[in-house]
Amino acid sequence: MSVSIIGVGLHPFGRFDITGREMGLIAAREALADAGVEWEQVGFAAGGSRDSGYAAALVSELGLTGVPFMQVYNGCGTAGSAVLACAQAIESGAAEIALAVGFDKHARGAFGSNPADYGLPMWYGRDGMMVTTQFFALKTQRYLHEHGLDERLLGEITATELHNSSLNPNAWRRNALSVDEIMDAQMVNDPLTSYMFCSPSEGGAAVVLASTEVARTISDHAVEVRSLEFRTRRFGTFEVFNPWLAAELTDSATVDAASAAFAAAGCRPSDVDVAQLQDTEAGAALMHLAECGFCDHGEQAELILDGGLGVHGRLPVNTDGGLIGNGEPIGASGLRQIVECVTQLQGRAGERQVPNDPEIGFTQVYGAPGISVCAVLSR
Amino acid sequence: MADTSTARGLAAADHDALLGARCTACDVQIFPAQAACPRCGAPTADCALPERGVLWSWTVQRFRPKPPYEGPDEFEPYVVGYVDLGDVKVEGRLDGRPVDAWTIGDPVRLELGAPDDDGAVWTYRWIADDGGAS
Ligand SMILES: [Zn+2]
Repeated sequence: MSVSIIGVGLHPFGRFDITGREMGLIAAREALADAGVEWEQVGFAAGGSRDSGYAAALVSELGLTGVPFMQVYNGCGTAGSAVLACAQAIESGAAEIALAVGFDKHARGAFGSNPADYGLPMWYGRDGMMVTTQFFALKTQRYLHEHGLDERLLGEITATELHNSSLNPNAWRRNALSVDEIMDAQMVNDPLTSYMFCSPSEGGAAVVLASTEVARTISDHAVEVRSLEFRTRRFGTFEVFNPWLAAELTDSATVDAASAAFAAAGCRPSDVDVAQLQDTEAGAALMHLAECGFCDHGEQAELILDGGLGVHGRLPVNTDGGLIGNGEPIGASGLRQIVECVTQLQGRAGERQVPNDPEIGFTQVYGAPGISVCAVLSR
Repeated sequence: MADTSTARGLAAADHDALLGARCTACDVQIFPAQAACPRCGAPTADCALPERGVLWSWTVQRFRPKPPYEGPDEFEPYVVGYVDLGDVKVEGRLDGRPVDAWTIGDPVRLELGAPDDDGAVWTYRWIADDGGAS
């Protein structure tokens, strides 16, 4: 791709007294200021939220410039779709500068779901199987069994992320916890304890993109989008809300998106200096390490133990605390990952900065119903 | 999308097995039955699923789900798992053991719930199968 990120903005994640829309506006203005461009210069915009209204309505406060603003309503893929739309608008020559924005504000507790919305029979919900946390637990339990992995790795991942979020002033969870405290916490869905899950939260995030050519002339801290790939599930993957699974399981959309992203960027997982992976719960992070190609399935312990995923570790992962430390405002979550990667590559991450001038960053979103967006970024 | 299971319940006509379907073109087996194959789009034919299988994964539901869950007022944790039936894995609630006494690979057998006034069955459980007669 010949697209670069020239500005990032973030409204902190957590619980706040303002609307989701206002958080999106704050993030968008911050990204524009960081890029040093005026809203009038933006030739294309895209964004969305799940529960906080229309992103395109932000123009009534950013300015009614007539800019084409693409509304995105794509679940966990909302932010990734917005960035992809912006990048493609720039690559096609339709715009030189574009803004992607995502925000959300969700009710507390696990998301409730209506079977009919998913083409499922009512008995599936009535009998207590339409529960997202159950799915994550069933998938993690099987994965640990199949690859002979120790449940304690889930505690190690969670402890690393909560340590990172304790150092991040924009994060929600600011208290670091020990592996024992995490393992001994209330069991929610075995083998996952309460601290291992992210919770619905609130926040906003935005990025300003430009063609790499334009970026060179107007920015001294641009980060290049080397690749950005979006995939949906194929037949035989293990997704949420499935009364049945195929006899032969297939690689997830993450495997497809990640391998395509590395191929398009012309680099390998071993080249990555900092990664932001989808950690809806600790088991997801565990699986995604292998699905993205950072290790073989079942070899995660070598990466994780002895602080391997920490900011000073072999592969710094979820350096801002990830979803576990920030919660998940669905529309904003994927953009938060990109904002954090850019911040790290620019050396602006403060106490949680990855040392030795990281050059290559990677982000991965995975969500319902079997979508993944992966990106490779570089200085 | 026509949801045939909604009208018919989820049990096969003779009420001793779950009603699944098999693709007439690619042979994929699915549950619950639906008219079109999710893999290739071809028509499916109804089939009764095996009544015995092995536990493929499990978890304990330790908090009360939001509606449309319709459990008893006094919530008791329950176990949910996938059971490997050979050509398909079917999700379901497990019963007959303490909630944390399950292991992947355990043999289980099907137990259908009581039919409603229209003769349709809406619940089923996978019961620990000790090898005796069912
Ligand atoms: Zn078929």
